[in-house]
Amino acid sequence: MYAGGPGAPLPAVGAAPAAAPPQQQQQQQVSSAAAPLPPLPPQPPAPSWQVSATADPAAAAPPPPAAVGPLQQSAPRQRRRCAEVCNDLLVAEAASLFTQRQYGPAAPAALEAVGFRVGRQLAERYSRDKARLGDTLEVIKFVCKDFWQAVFRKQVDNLKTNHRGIFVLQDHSFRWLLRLAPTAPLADGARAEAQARAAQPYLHLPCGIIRGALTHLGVNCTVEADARALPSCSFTIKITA
Amino acid sequence: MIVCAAVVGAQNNPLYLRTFIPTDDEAKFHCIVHCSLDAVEEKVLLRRAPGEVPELYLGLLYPTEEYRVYGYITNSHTKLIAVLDEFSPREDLLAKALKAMHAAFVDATSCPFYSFGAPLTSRLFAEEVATIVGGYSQAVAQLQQR
Repeated sequence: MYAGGPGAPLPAVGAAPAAAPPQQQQQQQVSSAAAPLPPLPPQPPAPSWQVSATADPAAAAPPPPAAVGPLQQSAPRQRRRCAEVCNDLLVAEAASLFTQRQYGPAAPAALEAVGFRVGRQLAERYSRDKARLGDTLEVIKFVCKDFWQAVFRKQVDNLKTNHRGIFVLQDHSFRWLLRLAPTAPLADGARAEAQARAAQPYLHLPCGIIRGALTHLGVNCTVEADARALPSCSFTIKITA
Repeated sequence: MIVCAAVVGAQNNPLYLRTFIPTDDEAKFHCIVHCSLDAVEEKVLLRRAPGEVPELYLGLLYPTEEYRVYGYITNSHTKLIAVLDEFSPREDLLAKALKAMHAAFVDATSCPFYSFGAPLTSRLFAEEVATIVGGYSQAVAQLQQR
């Protein structure tokens, strides 16, 4: 089971993301067969909302100890995993399907609504084992670290705030847009704009996910994305009410 | 033993309530759970001591003459309420039971056909909760036998 795209080289073993226990097993498999890629898993990929089953802290949480045997869930369910490329393809296909089927502002709104709902469910799942999150800043930090790690497989690289309700989250290599083809070379200023426009349909879903997660944890806000310098992507969160 | 388990949403809307003793007055338990929500608010707003990690398990919310009400709050402000008829239950076992109920709640809300704020009608969730309540009673009985 590998975590990269089909054509991408395996990530360097030492540089793998946060060491959840199942990942150590994966790393051992990789280091023993350094050259060839390990085979694809035989079972079909899980639905897309099980986005990062490998880094899922909720599933990685151990079952209750044997001292309270009757409370233990009956036989822990086998953890299903999904190659990351399936998620990338699904997101790309969803973006293109919605923009084809709906005109004008309805497509971004629909994608954002899908993301909103998914974000709420993911936030509920990934905040399960965390201590109680107090104020807005703690919620934002949770989103930047644990939530981002689980959904986008890395943490946010830079968090800026003006202490008046605006936060800017900067991700230097946003994984969902990593494979987006670069736009044709134009004059520099125009190129950045063209790139931002090309990436826009694929950003409604992540924005919705972030907004859903924040709203679910008690922070009402709007989220906008800026992809002028791909693969770096920054998300601006404006707290409302 | 746990006589009643309830899930209340972030806007204090009831999502699930189930009694585990034969009773013809379920409204009484609705009332008890509703009254305990104020106690939850108090506990949540209590300023924490420096260095103390605020937990999701809230402990005893308030006692009535027959029952004691214990609470648990999630990060999305969903409250899990357990009404017990014991007078000094094992809080660690109860905390574990509420944590397991939280896990069942997370699984139930991950259903694509569930919309947040709607009552929980999942059969699997109901079965899970019944298993957890049964497991808690068994664990308490085992410890008492020792």
